[in-house]
Amino acid sequence: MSRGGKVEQRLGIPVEVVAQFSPRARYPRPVSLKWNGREREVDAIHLVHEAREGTARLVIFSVTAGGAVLELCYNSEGARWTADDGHRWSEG
Amino acid sequence: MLIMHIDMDSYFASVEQQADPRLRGKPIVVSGRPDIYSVVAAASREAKKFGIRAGMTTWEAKKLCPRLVFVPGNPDRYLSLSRRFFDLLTRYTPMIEVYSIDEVFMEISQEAPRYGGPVEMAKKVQAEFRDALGERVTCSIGIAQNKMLAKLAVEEAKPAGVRYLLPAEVPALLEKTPVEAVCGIGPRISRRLSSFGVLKLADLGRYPERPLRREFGVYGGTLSLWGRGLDPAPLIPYWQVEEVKSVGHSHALPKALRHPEGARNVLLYLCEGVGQRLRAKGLAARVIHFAVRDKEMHLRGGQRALETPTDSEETIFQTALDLCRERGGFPEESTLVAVRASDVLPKAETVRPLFSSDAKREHLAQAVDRIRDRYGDRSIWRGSVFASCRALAPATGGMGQQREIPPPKREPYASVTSR
Repeated sequence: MSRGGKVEQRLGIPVEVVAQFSPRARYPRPVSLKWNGREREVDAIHLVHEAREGTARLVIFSVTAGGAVLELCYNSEGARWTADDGHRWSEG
Repeated sequence: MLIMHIDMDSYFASVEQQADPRLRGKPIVVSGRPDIYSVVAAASREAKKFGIRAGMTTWEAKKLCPRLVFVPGNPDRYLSLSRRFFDLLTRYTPMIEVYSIDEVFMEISQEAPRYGGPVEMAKKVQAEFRDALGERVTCSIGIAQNKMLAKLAVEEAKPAGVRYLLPAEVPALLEKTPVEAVCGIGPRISRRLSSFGVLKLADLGRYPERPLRREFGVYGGTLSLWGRGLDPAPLIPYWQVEEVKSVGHSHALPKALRHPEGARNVLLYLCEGVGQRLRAKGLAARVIHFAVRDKEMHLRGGQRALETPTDSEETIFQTALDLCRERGGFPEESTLVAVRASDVLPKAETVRPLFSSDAKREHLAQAVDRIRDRYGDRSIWRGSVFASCRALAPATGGMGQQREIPPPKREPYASVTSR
């Protein structure tokens, strides 16, 4: 997270995620993840959106997990998960 | 005819508050970097209470509310959610006009009775949006006999309400609505109208049409209709959208890139984007436009028609650079650079390159396009702009990469047949 108008590059740190895949659901549902060496439950999924990186389809979950607000990104190519803590230009 | 106008409330800001609970209840704006000449793209409801509005510069906004939180834009997020709500709306009717990323018009004359009336239908739409997009992402809905009135009605519905404007209420609305409230009457037209004593829409309706036509030409006839609560503009469904007329990019420059060399590199970067988009659409352009803004915020530029239509970034760049040189070159401090390619036609209708060097360049551009299609837009760079573009990426906040709003992919009548 950045302060004072600077912004940290998104890191997209690979994370291990336990997710539920359901044939009826549009997206997999992250249940828990390992972040900074700790296992955290996903407490709430606030928003889900899609993006593309070349031909890869990304599904990005804005979640709260163990009290931290994170963005979990599921890359459909290779079923990889990454996480970062979002960013903003300045703190209020 | 009955038109429903759906307008998302503080769209970008609401989406950011939905995504990040830490932003909820706080005055936030979605904007470019606050330390450069950038503008507010959207303000949250809390920020609007301080008088902050979209289009305001970031420093003006900061002055009004020192504890304002600046959030970078996330176009993928807004486009993805817009697609989702356009998809939802196609279940109601195929008669949907996509007006912008966060506004649509729907023709609901036949559909409204099925839902118990227009207000009930609007409430059902709002409930579905809440379920699909989240509690924070709300919309206001205006319903009236035409698009102009529906757009005026939605202003009375904000935030998160529904306003059904009955025909009997139209005269009173016209009496109290200033002319500039109509989308299409800007400050200059409004000033000219006020010199005739026309301040409200009803004044416009009472004013004889002939002098309006004399003063404003054909547009005078439209003004007269608006003044009487009529709108000549038909609803253009998404499956009948007009073809692309031009492709353009502009960028506000961060401090580090305002010197002539920096501005030149950004121009090349923008030309690459224009060329890539033209090729992706299978188009070539005949006319290139260029503009640069200096630190006093004066915009200068020009346009040139090419002998041969092009989709090549080199040609677009060289033409823009020539236009720049003819106007004295880049200012010592440029704050914005813009390039646009217009008068487009299908590439297939243009002459194939005569010289092998041109054909090679074309193949190279196509190869780069394929790499970007496969691995992402930021997977391959031109060496001369790499350093600048690394600086540009955070400066845009993603908003510089705004793309067209894709219409829903559903077949126009799929929703009807599935009912």
